Amino acid sequence: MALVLPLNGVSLRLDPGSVSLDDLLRALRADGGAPAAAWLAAAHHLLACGRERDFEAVLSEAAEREPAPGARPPAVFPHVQALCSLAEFSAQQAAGERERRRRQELLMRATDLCHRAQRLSLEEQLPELVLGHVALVKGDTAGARKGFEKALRMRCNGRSSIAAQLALAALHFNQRNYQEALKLYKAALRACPTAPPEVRLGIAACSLKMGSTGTAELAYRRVLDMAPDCTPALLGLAVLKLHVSSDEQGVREGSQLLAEAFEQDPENPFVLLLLAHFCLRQGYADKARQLAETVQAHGGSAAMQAEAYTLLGRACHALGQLNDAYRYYQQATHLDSKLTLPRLGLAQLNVLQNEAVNAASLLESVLLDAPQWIDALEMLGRVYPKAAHKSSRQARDVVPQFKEAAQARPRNAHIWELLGDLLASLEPAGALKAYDKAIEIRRKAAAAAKGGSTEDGGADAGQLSARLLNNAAILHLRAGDAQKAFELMAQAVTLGYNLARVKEACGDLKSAEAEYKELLRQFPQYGDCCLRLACIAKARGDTKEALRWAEQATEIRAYAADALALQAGLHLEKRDYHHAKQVLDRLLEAEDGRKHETFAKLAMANLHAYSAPSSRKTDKDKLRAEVHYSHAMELYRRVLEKDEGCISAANGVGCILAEVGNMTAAKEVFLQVQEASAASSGFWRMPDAWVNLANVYLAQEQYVPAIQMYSNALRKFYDNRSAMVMLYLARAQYDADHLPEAKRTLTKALHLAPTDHQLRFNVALTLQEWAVRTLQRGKEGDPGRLPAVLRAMKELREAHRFFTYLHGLGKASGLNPEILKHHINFVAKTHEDARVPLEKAQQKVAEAAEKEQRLRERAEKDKERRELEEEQRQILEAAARRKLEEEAQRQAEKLQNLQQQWRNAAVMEKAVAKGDAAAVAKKAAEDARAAQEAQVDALFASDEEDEDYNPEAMDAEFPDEPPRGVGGAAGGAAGAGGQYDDLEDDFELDDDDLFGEGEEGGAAAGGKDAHTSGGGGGSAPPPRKKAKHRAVMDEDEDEDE
Amino acid sequence: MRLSLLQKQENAHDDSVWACAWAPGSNTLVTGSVDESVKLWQEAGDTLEQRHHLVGLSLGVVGVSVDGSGQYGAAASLDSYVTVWSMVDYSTVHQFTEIPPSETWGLAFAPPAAGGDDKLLLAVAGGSSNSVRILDVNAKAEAVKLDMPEAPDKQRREKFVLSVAYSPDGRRIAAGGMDGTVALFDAASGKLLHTLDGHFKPVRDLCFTPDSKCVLTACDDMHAHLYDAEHAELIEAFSGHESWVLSVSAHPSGNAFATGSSDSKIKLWDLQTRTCAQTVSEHSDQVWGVRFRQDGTRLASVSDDSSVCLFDFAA
Repeated sequence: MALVLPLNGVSLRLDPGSVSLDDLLRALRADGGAPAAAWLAAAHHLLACGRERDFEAVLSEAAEREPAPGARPPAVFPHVQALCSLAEFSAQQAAGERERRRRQELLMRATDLCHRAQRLSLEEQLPELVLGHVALVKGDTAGARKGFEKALRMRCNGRSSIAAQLALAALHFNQRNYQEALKLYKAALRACPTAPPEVRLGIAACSLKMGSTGTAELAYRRVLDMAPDCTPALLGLAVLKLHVSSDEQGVREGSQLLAEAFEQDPENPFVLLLLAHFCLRQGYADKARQLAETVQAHGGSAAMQAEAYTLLGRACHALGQLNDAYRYYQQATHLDSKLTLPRLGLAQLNVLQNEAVNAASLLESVLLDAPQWIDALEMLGRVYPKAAHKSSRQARDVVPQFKEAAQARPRNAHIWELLGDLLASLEPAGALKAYDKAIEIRRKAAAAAKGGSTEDGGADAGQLSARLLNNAAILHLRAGDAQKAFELMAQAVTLGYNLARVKEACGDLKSAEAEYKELLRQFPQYGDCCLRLACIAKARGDTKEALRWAEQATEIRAYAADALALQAGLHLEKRDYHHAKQVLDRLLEAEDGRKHETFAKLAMANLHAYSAPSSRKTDKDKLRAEVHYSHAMELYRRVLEKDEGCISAANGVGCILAEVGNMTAAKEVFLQVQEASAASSGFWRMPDAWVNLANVYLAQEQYVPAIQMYSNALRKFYDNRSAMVMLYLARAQYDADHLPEAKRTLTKALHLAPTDHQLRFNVALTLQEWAVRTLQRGKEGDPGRLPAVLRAMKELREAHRFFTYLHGLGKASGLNPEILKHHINFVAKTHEDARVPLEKAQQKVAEAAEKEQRLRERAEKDKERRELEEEQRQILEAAARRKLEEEAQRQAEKLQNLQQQWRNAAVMEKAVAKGDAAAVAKKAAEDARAAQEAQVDALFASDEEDEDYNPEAMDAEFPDEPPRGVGGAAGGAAGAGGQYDDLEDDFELDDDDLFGEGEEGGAAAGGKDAHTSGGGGGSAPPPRKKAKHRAVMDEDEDEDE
Repeated sequence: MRLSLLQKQENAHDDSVWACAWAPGSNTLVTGSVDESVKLWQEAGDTLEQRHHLVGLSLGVVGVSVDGSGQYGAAASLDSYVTVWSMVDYSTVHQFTEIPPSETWGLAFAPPAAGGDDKLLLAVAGGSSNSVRILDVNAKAEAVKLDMPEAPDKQRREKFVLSVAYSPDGRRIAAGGMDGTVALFDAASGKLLHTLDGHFKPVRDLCFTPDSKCVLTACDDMHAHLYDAEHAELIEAFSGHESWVLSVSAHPSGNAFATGSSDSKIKLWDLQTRTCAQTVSEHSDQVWGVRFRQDGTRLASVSDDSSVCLFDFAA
């Protein structure tokens, strides 16, 4: 673009981009100087080209040129303009200047220039505007406002101008007086309908800030109509869409607008900041941090920097980099002490660090600047109780705000509750009202939620916290309304208790425990908490603690019976029958024991069932067992009379029936129990019934259903981790002859319960049995048997180690030492005996290896021989051929010689020589045929050798080996078989007895969760097989005694 | 922090997998199973590939460990044998067969000694011997036996040491028992320092935090505990599992740890906030082992469902 300078009637065209300053000045100075307007035009063109220094030089000179003395205001206007432009330029430089002194100088200069301009024309608006701006740069908003307001009343070069209105509007806007700003913008637009889009932008921004989004959107759209690439308008609309209408479509439109703005002006700090906001909101805190860092690095106004720091702080806050966040927030507040967001962030960080007092004062200051900001209020409400030592005077200051905020939000129960908390100490009546209101809101919400409306937030709002009820109740009490207080309190406590109960059920035992204890502290008579604490201790395995809590509960009369029941359960679990009986007696005698009558009877019945001696070998024991069982049966019967559906009692009956051998009846009972339990859809869990049913199947030798039933029970009720049920399962597998499975089951059980000697014994037993079978099985002639035999031997050694170890434990093992001794001896003997088959098998393998070796050697030898023969034959053939050839040659030579002789000899010798020659020829032919025949012979000869290589030679070398082997194996097996048969008898008997010891474990399931149900019964032991070898066992017993 | 599944190796063993360990400084994983074998796996491209199969560990493998140099692996089997093999050529280095039945359980190699002492020590939880055995692998003999404390408490009846761990700095040994006793020993002197109280049920696994200052325990009482090892104080009890906690492993960063439980779940815990950060339900049966790799980017888990899972860990 060419620069056209009107110089005293002539126009001078210059290129502002390239013209040198000197040329320009010369042109302007010529003819006594161009008019001020030309200077000004030149300077502005220079500025437009970015030549700031030259701009300043031209303007400075223009300003120095005094206007013609006595000139009228319109004539001096260009001069005023020049002075003001220079002043404005200085002010802008000052705004960008960080060094204090230089800044001061620039501002002084600007002021000075403005004063000079004012001297030229007092009515002129421009100097006042620039002075206002200078005041702004100084940070003197009041001065600026005064300046702008003064300018408002003046005119620009004799015409009205909206510049002052706009400046004032911007000032108001920045001071958050949006109302005032809007008024000014509107006036400006009215005064000048063709005003630049910025005016509408201002209107839009003010509307947006004041919450009239409709107007704001209209204004932004109008700006975009006028100037489609107006980034601020795009940005404003994006803000509108993103922040105000936060539904999904709004966000989508907003992000589109934002993208458009970013495309247009990727370096616009406002765009970047909004983008950072957007990222933060979408959860990309690191991205937001990057963007904010970019903005921060590019500098810009203090407000912008503050905004960038705030964003940085928030991003770091979100990323968990709290120290950085703290620093950034502080920087932001330092730059703009009126910004509320960073202070809220600081308050949050203070809360995190338990600096409640700091947080409170920060929040108070925030509320001063942003009254009724709900976030700040809510936080403050929560912080106040922690900043306890703070004088309530300050709290009183924010109370009105709280009240207003609460009034404005009649559906926000939370804020009402906070208001209640805040008022509790200042104004109890108000607090009570607030609490009541909060309760009412929550109840309504809960009712609405229950009413089927699935409005979001319904579930959350409907949660009536125990704390709220509790606080309201206390205030009611203070107000003298004890009845109301009691009602609420009961609800509060129950809620708290139920909450803790749910937590307990969810596995969050720690907080459940803490809540129970807290409830107990508040309400020492709340015995349920004691009982639950006892149950938690029991679950943890801390029986002592459990008993202590139960004991504490017995001291509260209403809970005594429950506590006793729980204690009984604990004793039963420990198999401390003595104490269990004591407690049960106490329970039955207890005055309000009625509600526990069923439980007590059941428990007592179980007690009888367990105390029946497990070995009924003597008459005395048999009698005792009978007494116990009949007692138990009687108690169960009485329970069932009262409550037909008591599955625990029914289960107990089944157990007794099984114990006394009435398997069919027992099975019937257990099946019914199982059905009843299944029909209750999980309310009555009766795993015992499954196990007992399986036990009955086992006793009836129905192994498949037994195994199935045990496996199901294990999976369904025991998380695959009940060593007891696994022991039963293994027994069923063992009896069903699934030895490897039995061993695996036992190993797994042992892994769960390594101290269970019975399991270890049974592992050894299974190893022993499997080894014995391995040794019995298989033909001895089979060389593949060796690994199996070796393994069997190893298993025998393991079994031996286990038995010896268990024997070494003595009484502690709980196993019969005689039986153990017996097993040790048996295993040792079997191992010893197994040496023979082992040696045989080893020998067999060795022989087989040797045989193979020999075969291989022979094969190799044959091969060698054949090769040798072949070689020799070839040599011979070659020799023969050579001989023939030589012979032929010799003959030919002879013939030649003879012919020579003939020729030389006399004619009379001719006839004789002829005869000789024929003879020679004949002989030669004969020789050739003989050689051919020899060759054929040789061929046949090798064929023959191949044939006899196979069977005959072998037979010759390993005569009648196979028959002998077979015979030996058969004999061995027979012999061993006999042995094993004898021994197996013994040991089957033993395992019957020992597997049977599981019965004690079977009782353990009874009385589980005694407090709630009073489950009785327990598992019957897997019934012993009616021992077919009773005699042998009794012998053992006799030895024992 | 987050775990994401990279691979679930179904039927990694023929039956329940009970133990796992990463070889320090490499991506080799060792797993032990009730199928009486140990398998060695190598991670290649986010999946595990089987490299070797060691068989004949009678009655199943209850514990595995790899020494700090990654040269030796060890397994304790239910027949109470402790087998040490070479990780290089898989040959058996030594088998300790003299330990009585029921007197071995979990095991742990000592970390490489800072003083250049080239003894290869292996701590074995001594089961019913109620002690911890320190085996000298090179000498093929037992070096020392650390006795568990006599509990004055009548409640504690089941004397059986299940778990043992060395502190990463090698100065401490911790051991956990059936009755909930957790004991802390000085590794150099073998002296019992103190007990860490709070459990009453079997402590099946424990480990030190990377700074060697704290001990994490996994217990049948459905909790994992965090103890201050030097002051014998319970810092935190982590509840959330719905059944026994069977295994615990601290992340090398010291910011997190993982637990495996009978409820078939794996939980990831944030040690800074002391909350559960994630619950993983990849397994369908009890999770017997969880182990972070030394570089902290992987977690391996083994379960009764015969599978081995490989997870990526992101902080």
